[in-house]
Amino acid sequence: MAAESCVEYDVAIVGAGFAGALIANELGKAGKKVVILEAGDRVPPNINDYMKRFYMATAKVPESPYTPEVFDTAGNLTDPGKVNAGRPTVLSLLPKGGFGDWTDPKQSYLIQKGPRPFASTYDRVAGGTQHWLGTCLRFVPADFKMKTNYPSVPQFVDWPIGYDDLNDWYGKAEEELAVSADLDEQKYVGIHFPVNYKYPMPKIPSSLVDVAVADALKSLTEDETKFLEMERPPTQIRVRNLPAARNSQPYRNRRACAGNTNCIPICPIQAKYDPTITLNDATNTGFVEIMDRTVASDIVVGENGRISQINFIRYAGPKTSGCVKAKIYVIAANGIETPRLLLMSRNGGRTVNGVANSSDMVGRNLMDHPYYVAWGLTPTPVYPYRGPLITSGIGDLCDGPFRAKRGAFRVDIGNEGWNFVVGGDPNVTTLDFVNGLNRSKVNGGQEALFGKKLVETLNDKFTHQFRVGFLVEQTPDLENRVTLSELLNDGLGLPRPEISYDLSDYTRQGIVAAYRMKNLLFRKMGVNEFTEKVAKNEPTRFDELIDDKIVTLSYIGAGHIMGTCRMGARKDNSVVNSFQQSWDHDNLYLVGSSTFPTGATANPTLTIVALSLRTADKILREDLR
Amino acid sequence: MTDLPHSKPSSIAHGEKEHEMVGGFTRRKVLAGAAAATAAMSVGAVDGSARAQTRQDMVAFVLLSSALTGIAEVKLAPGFDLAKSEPGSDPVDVKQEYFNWVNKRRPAALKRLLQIAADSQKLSAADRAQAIIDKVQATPDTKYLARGIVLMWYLGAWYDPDNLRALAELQNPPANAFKFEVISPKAYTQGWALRVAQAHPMGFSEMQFGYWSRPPSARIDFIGN
Repeated sequence: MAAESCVEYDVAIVGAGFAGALIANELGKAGKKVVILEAGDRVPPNINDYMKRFYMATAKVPESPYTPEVFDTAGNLTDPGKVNAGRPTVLSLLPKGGFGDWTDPKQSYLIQKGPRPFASTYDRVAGGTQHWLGTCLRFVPADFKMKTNYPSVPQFVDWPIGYDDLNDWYGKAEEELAVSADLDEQKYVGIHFPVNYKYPMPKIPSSLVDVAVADALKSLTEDETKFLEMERPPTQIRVRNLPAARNSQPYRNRRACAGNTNCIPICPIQAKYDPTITLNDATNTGFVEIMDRTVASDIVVGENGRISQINFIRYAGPKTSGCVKAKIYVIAANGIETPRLLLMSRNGGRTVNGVANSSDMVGRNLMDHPYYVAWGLTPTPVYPYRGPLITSGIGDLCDGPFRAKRGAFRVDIGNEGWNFVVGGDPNVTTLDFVNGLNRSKVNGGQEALFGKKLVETLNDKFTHQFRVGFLVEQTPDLENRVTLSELLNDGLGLPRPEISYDLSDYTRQGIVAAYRMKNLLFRKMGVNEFTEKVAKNEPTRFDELIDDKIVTLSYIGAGHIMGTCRMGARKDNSVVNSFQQSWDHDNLYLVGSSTFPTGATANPTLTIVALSLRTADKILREDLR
Repeated sequence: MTDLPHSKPSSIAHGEKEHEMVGGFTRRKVLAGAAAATAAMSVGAVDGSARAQTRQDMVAFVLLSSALTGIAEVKLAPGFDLAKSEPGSDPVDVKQEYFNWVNKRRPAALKRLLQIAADSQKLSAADRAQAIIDKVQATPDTKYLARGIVLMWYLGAWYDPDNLRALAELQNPPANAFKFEVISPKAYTQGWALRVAQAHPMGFSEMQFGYWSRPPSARIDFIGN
């Protein structure tokens, strides 16, 4: 492999997702010379290629518009051992022994050691963050003080900062991501705002599906909601519009949302913010350079304990090796790739347990928001497949005394009917009624229809489709961890991430409460449930005793990868301080949701951005004065 | 592979079609084994070669498609006018793409379907659709190609008629019978399934900000029926 010469910068950043892009832009605006090493392909000049790949995909999964290709030319899942910068896919979370076997390293990029699958995926190219939903929730104050508030749960720790430390940074994050929301509607469970604060844009209107759920909640009684143990009146369980990084009016040269119902995998008009927008701003400062198809492979520690350079492998053409030197290094490569890089960096045995890992916490406490999903048909039309994928949710159950015993949850109200829950609607239900099948379970008579009958039947089924999801709080558990495979490498010869993952009893009890809430909600709405029975070989399956009956439950991933480089107040039990600065190497920052000590129930992006802006400010104020 | 993570091929219940003749085989014989069934299916796949298309062919194709899909001719082919033998004048012209696609793969069965549609022209508009629907189901090759044509218009995707037949008639169809392919980006964006649902193909909205907070227009505004 040919070697490139080592170039010097003020700051070297690994990863061009939310955290990397925003920090690069802040530093670039201040005239600091920055390089971003991005493992994925270059950001294309427009999204046409992504759109074409999305349109043509038979499985329109979150990663379908992006590269590397999900399938090889023979139609099999691409062998991750041959890919330069691999990525997980939801298609490799299927039962053992067949297509998508979650334990098969020839199909799954992550080496899943179990006992349960880690069900979330991530992407390359601008962190793959184009396929986020756009939800911009703040954490609530209690989320930062879990050990103090709920000492009965041994896994919980406090964050070294609180809501008030982040309040202004949340505001800056909302400005940067261009969030649409109604201020008064967002004041709940302790969330408060600075005086005279305003969101950048008015809220995104709620959907008819949201309205149907809100109407049903109005008649909740004390008795019906006793199982929640919230110790607040049920009138406080209400549907709230979600703050979203989605334009409700033309903003910064981007259009207002046109309701393409496709935020994931891709917004076709970029009405939803994504980091390519900030990357563009950053490179336009003239101080930020992006090196794509460039995989950081080694963080080198100098004799004084400071980071002295980062080595990389570049595959843009014939593979080359190279390095960058900088005053400050920022690793922004997500909750799995960041610990992977730290653990790979052994410095000839001087950091045998990896860089920044004197606490032994790197890679541990891997968290997600295990997602419990259910679906059915409503008694009157709710007209799904219209508007953004999600416009509202129930957030008021994200904190309460029940958190001493079980995980909290947030409720997502889907505007996309049964699109993903039955394996790809509208195709599945349409095929059922055209060809006399019953994969959707709504064609019990296996009718095969043409003409007017087909139109009437499909209109009836589709307009009544409803699905609800629950983002459940997960405990940080030491043995849920990212390590390195000793045997299996990627296409560059770098060890692939190995994942051990399970759900604690606390987390499973959160899913049980979500299941009960689903039953209550469906009863109130009059929903005829069609949630598929969990198959015997389903890898995420688990049984719980609920009201003297064994109920089989399962989960999917929320895409929220957290916890593997936790921040804390002490060097011996955390990886970084509140500025996301390594305790071990003071010119090294690890940014992103990997630093979250606890995961709460809110989508992590806004908190990632708030913390990143705070870190950029610290670097400018103290490190690069 | 085409299956999404949560899709699991359902077992196909049998009984109601037990008497039906399938390409010279009884259903029971077909069920004797997947290999035999595959051989039976291949009979239908021998289907001649593509032929030139006339203006009348396209008029018949639109009539056929409208009857099978339940969507008005002028929605499938804007500008369509039967009295003037005008097959439509829209610049998107997805009908031509579909015609070519089927004509290349199933010319003989398509010819029979077009004849059924052409024969129906003398019927009143009110009777035509049902007459076409009844006739296409007389033989397996026209029936399953007709279903494939409906799926094309609804989903912009091609489900091979042999696969459709295997899924409908075999107790344990092979997993790859669920395979399909998206015909083109244009075809995906012109899909009717979600317009039938008074919405739009996911990722292709022609509506304006905020429309989702109001009830949709009537179904007839979307599909003309």
